[in-house]
This record gives sequence, structure tokens and C-alpha cells, in this order.
Amino acid sequence: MYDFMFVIFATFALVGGLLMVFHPSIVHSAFALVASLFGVAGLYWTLGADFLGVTQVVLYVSGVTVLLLFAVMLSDKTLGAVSILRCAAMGLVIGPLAMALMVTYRAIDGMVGTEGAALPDPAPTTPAIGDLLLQPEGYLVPFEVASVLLLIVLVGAVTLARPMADRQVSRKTIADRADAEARGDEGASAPQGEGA
Amino acid sequence: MVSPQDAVVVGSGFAGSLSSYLVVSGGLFLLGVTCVLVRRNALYVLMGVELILNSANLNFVAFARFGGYGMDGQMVALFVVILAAAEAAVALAIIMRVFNEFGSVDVTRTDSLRD
Amino acid sequence: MPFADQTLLTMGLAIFLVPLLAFTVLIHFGSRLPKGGDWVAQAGIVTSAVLALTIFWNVIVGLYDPGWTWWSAEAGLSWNWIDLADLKLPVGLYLDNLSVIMLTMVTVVASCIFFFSAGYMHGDPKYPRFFAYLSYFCFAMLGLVLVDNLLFLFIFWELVGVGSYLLIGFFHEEEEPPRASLKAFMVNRVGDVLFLLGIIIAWQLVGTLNYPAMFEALAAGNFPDPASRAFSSLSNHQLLTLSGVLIFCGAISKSAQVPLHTWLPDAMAGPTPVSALIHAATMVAAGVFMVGRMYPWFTPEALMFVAGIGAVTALVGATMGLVSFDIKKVLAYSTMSQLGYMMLGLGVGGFVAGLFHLITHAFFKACLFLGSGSVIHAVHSQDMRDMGGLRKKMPRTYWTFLLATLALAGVPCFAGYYSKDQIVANALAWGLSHGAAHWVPFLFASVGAFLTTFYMFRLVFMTFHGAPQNAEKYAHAHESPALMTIPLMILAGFALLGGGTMNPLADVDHLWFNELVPAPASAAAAGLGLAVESAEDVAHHLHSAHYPALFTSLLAIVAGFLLARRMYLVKSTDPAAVTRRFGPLYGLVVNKYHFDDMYGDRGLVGGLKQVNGALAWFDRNIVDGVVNAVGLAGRFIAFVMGLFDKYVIDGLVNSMRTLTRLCSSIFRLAQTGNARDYLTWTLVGVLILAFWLA
Repeated sequence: MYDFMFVIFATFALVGGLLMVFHPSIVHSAFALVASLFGVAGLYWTLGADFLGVTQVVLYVSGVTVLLLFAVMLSDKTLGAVSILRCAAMGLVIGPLAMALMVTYRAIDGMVGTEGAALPDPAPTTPAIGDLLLQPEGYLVPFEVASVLLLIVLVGAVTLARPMADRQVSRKTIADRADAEARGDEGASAPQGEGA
Repeated sequence: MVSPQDAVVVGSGFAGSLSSYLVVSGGLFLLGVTCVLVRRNALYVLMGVELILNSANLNFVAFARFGGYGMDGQMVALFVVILAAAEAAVALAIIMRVFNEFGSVDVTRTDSLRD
Repeated sequence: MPFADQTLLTMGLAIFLVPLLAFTVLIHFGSRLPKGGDWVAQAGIVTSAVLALTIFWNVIVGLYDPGWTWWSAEAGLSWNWIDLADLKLPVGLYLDNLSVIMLTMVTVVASCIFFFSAGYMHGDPKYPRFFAYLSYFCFAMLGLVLVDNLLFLFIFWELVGVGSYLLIGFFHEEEEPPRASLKAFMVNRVGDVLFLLGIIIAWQLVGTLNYPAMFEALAAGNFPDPASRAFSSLSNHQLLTLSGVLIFCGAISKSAQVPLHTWLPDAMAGPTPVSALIHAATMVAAGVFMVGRMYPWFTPEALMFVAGIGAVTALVGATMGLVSFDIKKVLAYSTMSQLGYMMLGLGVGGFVAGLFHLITHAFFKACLFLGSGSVIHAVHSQDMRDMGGLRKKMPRTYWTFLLATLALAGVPCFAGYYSKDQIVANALAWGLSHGAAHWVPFLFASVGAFLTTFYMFRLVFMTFHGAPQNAEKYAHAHESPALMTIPLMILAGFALLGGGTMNPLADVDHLWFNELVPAPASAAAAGLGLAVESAEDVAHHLHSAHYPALFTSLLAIVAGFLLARRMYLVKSTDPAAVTRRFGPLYGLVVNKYHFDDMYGDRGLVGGLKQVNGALAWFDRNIVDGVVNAVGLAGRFIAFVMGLFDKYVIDGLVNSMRTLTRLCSSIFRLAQTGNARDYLTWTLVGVLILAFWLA
């Protein structure tokens, strides 16, 4: 059963990834990324990390990808085609990289062994993760720091996304408005003074 | 101490060995790097980075599982997911700015650093 | 219906925090508030005054309640300021009849002065800041009165010093005020350091600084082993006396006693309402209040020191008041002299008399200062030789001033009479019971009473009577606005009624103050096992001293008045002829007994300057010489190094530049500015490293 699930999810992940990289249409690529990330979520599940799998689906598969799709819609879609020449040139880098990974993984695989596979499937991990997140000796500090980081990101993203020209314009309009008000006040008060 | 009858063996084939997970994560990593290197659209670069992050996450979880390191691998993966979300938000904001400044999201054209 | 203790304590807390709040508001937003924010300060002090009067009223009600004649609520409101294992410093509020009366006096006088100031300071560019400082001062002064331990008394003691410094130097654009404020601050430092030493010794002796706890511990006589404390060669009695004298040194500087009195006349450079509030009614009286608070602490020897200093100050102050022509300086010397009276009273065992005089004096002296402020406001001069005949132009100022003068002189029926008479009676009783040199305070007090009457009527005659001395200034003089005269009338009312009775033959033991504030037993005598004069003996001496003292004072007053009338109103004796006859003596007094010279450039400060000069010479010629030699050597070495630098190093650098430019033109080719290319090269680098390491 687990073997079967592994094959299915690994296929999702890798084929999704391949499609994403080489598909000419960015919208299709984005959906291929969803499939790939979904496959990874499944792989988490086969590893007994149920909470992480769900998080992956909720955050990545829906959240990040939806964000990505918005960006796709807001930008140009004309840069579709993949240059074969570029791919060939990059093969010179990717090939040795693959080799290096293979060598490294083989070495690590030998070190770790497979005894972990015989461990019991950790029954629902959610309570354990919750405990760890809220214990000072666990991950409470990183958790709080992450929340601050998210706030900063929120503000930073909003600031960055506003075009510079736009900002200058808005500042200028504020100043103009203030000037206009000042002039208007003077204009309004002067006749009153004369009337009195 | 784990008694034999409590042990649920994950599997004897692919799912029971670390190397199969490593192959998948390695594949995802290479795909991510390729994506970053060959695509000119900045959004593809971002998607490639997400793929790389996922391969690393998969490694964390798999090593923790087979190495018997408990929950720490999952916790790190969780924080990576959080940070990836933050990174995506900032990166997309930067891409929007690049689009506004250069009129395109082509990473080969954003080369004003050369001057 | 009396309030509960806790309610009264909370009110006490509010009394000194409200002016702090007013200060905070004014210092930040004063200039933006309508009318410069004076109403904030006034509202604050009036609130305090209302609260203080409420508490006072409770005490009066308590007076008719047999269980409440000596009311104190020291245990109510306190918390630990410092709480270490062995070191606990609790701080709290101490409300007893004495502090309640002080609170009432301070807030009522301050309220009058706050309103007066609104008229006096009108149009000043720093108007809001003036009220901020006044509020700050009131906060510090009320805190000083309220706290229940010596350390916090010291802290507030310093805070009022800061307030005084800020307010004396308020017109800091002019030349004199900044100098005077600095002088006041520095002279007070001398006393304050000694005061702190006294506090430290007290802490050593009893291990606490809370008043009741201190006196309790002292009366119990549980002193630490002399071997285990500092000054082990001194006996407990000697150390206690030393502590008392040092604590009193704080009062010497704060209350302008000889020999640290020199700052007070100079402090008159401040605005007149400040002189009235700080340098007449409240801050200078803080020294007297402190001695009263610490009264059970003083050994008979320490009290004798207090009495001696007080007697000398009373006489010296009065004589200096005779010769000054500056209206404010005369009042300043008078204040100094009266503070001497209070110290004298306390020193000779007249606890009640000294503190009673503090209260009555505060009202009529504030009235006198405000009156002089009103006069200065009208004629724009402080010199009495520019005045004269102002009685007709400024009737309200004149009458209030006259009432306060009569009170100060101690004319029967006025407030000053009851308190001053008690002091003189106590001094006489002390002389009678101890004999010999103990007569000095009584003699000085009697001569002082004569001089007081003389200089005060000299002031009144020169300012308000006779022909105008300066026709131009007289022509421009006018009565001050109601904002200024109404506070004068209120204070004059207190000068008239402050004794609580108008009957000159009233039994002094049953005046309101004597009923409320009985003298505490001497804890020092109890702790050291000294023989204490029995209460009957004291009462007997006092009783037999009362009428002789009364006649002496009356004689002094009449003589003083007649002499002043002869010299300054009728002018049948020329003052100039008198000064000629007493030439050397006159010169001594005019030169302020050379105290300022003693401290000045040809005295203490000059000596320090000479030492400084010698040190500076050493610095300039010896130390600087060495430094310069080192510098010259350095310059020579630097010159040689410079040559090396120019030809060898620069040559190297220049060739490096050429090389760098060459290399960079090659490496620049890799800098495409394209992020993808950078990433590719990064990966290549990582791979090279990976294969090399593997």
C-alpha cells in the first residue's frame, strides 16, 4: 500500500515538476507546480508527517500558488518559449550537479541506514507539533519570531508593490491639497475680515 | 523501547527506504535549478525556487524519519513552509516592481547592475 | 464627620502629586495653552490647598475628640523603595498634626502667590515656564513635608534646591540672577553634604531612617557595639551629638543660618513672588521644619549648638537689615533673622514656639514680600531712596504691608506676637535655669527684637511715608490690580489672625498651635539615660519667664519704633551722622561682616583659585613640556616616515593600481548584470568545491 502511494505521489511530484519547467505557457506551468507540490504533500504523508502534508496543501498548493497566479495575470505572458540552446548550455552545469547529488546521497544513505523504517508510524503528529511550538524549550521563540517576520513581510510587500512614481504622485497631491487649502482659507477669511 | 508488535513497517519496497525519497528530492532539486537557469520569466524563477525549497523539505522529513530524529525535521520543514510563504510574497512584490520599472519580467533585461 | 485615616492619606498623596501633574502639563504644553497655562498651575495648587484644608479641618475636629489630640497616620500608606535581603527602605507618607499644619500653610501661601504672580509676571516671555517651575517647587516642598523618612526628606530637600536654583536664575538673560542661583546652589551643597553625613551616622546608630522607628530605636537605647561601627573611638553620646550637629548643618545652609547665609540676600535677584514663596515662607523654613521633625534626635549639646547658631543669626541678620537700601534685601535679612529666631527657639527647648513662629512668619513674611513686589511693580526700582510717600498712591498695599510689619515686629494682638513672645520666654527660661552663658540667646533675641522693629519701621517710613524722593517715579506709581492686592489682603488677614486669638494676655499654653503640636519627648535623652528636667520644672521656669520676657519685648518694640520715627519720619536725627559715629561698626555691617569676602576671591574661593593656579602652572610648564617634547619627537619621526611613504609606499600603491585596472578590465567581462549568469557561476563554484573536496 505504502509502496503504491509512494510511486503515485513521486510521479506527481516529478512529472509535475518537469511539466512546470518546460511548458511554454506560464498558466499551465503554474498548474503543473500545483500538481508537483501536491505530490510532495503526499510524500510527507507516506513519511508519517500528516500535519506537514496538510500544511503543504493549505499553504503552498492553495495559498502560494493562487498568489502566483495573480502575479501571472498581472504581468506579461509573452516569455513562453524555452531556448534549446540555453538548455544545452545549462546541461553542462546541471549534469555535474546531478552527479554530485547522487554521490552525496549514496554516501548519506549508507550512513543513515534503513532502521528508521521499522519505527512505528508516529500517530497523529498535530498534538506533538502544537506542544513543541508553544514550549519555551521547544520552538516558541522561532515561532514568535516567525510571526514578527510575517508582519514585516506584509508591510514590506505592500510598500514594495507600490510603484515609485505612484508614491511621488500621491505625496505631491497631498502637498498640493494642503497648499490649496491654505490658499482657500486665506481667501475665505479675508472677505470676512473686510465685512466685519 | 519499541516492541515488535507495535511496529508498523512502512514498507519493504520504495516507501521503506531512504534512497527512494532522496532520488525524488534530488530530481525536484535539479528541476528547480534548471527552471531557475533556463527560463527568462521572473515568475518561473520564483516557481523554481519553490521547487528547490520543497526538495529540501522532503529531505528534512525523510532524514528525520529514517534516522529516528523525532519531530525536529518536521518542525524545520514547517518553518521553511512559513518562510517560503513570506519569501513568495516579497518576491512577487519585487516582480511587480520590476514589471513597473522595466516594463517586463524578463530577468535577462534587468541588468542595470552591470553599469 | 471626620474622614478615615486611609482617605486622609490618599488626599495627602494627591496634595503633592497634583502640582507635579500641573508641572508636567505646563512644561510640555504651557506655551500652547490659552493664557500661558497659568490657570493649570493655579487649579493645581488650589486643589492641593482645598485638600490640605480638608485634612486640617479633620485635625481641628479631632482636637475636641479626646482620643485624637495627637493624630498621626504614619502607618497607613507605605511601600518598599529598596527591598534587599538585609536592606529595606520603606517609604511612605507621614501625616501628623505638624505636617498637616505645614501642608496647609504651604498650599495656602502658595495659592496666594500663584495668583499674585499672574499679575506680577504678566507679559513675561517665559510666563508659562515660570508657572511650571512654581508648580514643580510646590511638588517638591509638599513632598518634603509629607514623607516619613529622613532619606526621602533629603531627596526632596535636594529637589526643592533645584526648584530654588531654577527660579532664582529665572531671568537668566541678565547678569546677576544666574550668578546668584549658582551661589545659592553651591552654598547649599556644603550644608547638604554634611547633612548626608549626619544621615549616614544616624543609619549606623539605629539602622532605620523612618522617623517614628528611629526615635523608638533611639529611646530603646539599643546602640551597636562601638567596635563594630565607624568612629569607634567616639562614644554613642558623642556620635549622636555629631549626627545631630551634621543634620543641623543641612538646615544651616537651607535656612540661611550663619555662616552659610550668604546666598539668601543674593537670591533676591529672582522674581519677587519667588522670593516670597521660596525664600521667605517655605523652602528656607524647611530647615526649621526638619529640625522640628528630628527634634527627639538632638542631644542637649546639639541643641545648644542649634541655639547658638540661631541666636547669632538672629542678631547678625537684624543688623544687616539696618543698613541696606534695597527693599528686598532688607526683607531677606529680616527673613534670615527670623529663621535665626526659630532655630533659637528650637535650641532652647521651645519646640512649639519655634515651629509656631515658622507658621506665623510664613504668612506675614509672604505678605511683606508680595507687598514689596507690588511696590517694585509700581515704581520699577528696588531702592528705597527712590520711594517715599507711596502711602497715598497705593493704599491697599500700604495697609496690608503695615499689618504684616506690626506682626513681624511682634506687636501685641498680631500673629507674630504670640510666637515670638514664646521664643523670647523660652530663651529667658533657658537662661534662668542654666545660668551663665545660657543667657546669650535671650540677650540676642531681645536686642534682635529691638532691631527688627527699627528696620521694619525704617522700611515702612522710607517707602510709604514722607515726601516722594523721586518725583518722576512717584508720578508713574499706581496701585496694583486686584489680582495682586487680594492675595495681599488674604495674607494680611492671616498676619492679623494667625495666632488664633486677639487677646494679648491669652494663655500661651492654650493657643491653637500649642494644643495641636505638643513638644515630643527627647528620644536622645531617653536612649542615653540623661537626666531630663522634669516637666513641672520646665513649666515653672517658663511661667516665671513669661511676663519678664513680655515686658522686655514690648520695651524693645517701643524703643525700636521711636528710634525709627525719630530718624526716618520726623528726621530730628540725621541717619548719616549716626553712621559716622559708628563708623567702623557700620563698615563691618555694610560689608556683611565680610562673610562674602571670606568665601570670595580673597578668601576661601581665592585660596582654592591659588591652589588651582599652582596646579595649572605645573600643568602648563611641566606636563605640557613633556607632552610637547614627545610631540616634537613624533613630528620628526613622522617626517622621516613621510619620505618613505611618498616614494616607497606610494610607488607600490600606484603599481597596484595599474595592475588592478588591468585585471578588472578582464574580470568585468563576467559582470553581465544578469542574475541568472551570477547564479550559474555560483553553481559552477559550488560544484568545483564539491568535487575537489570529495
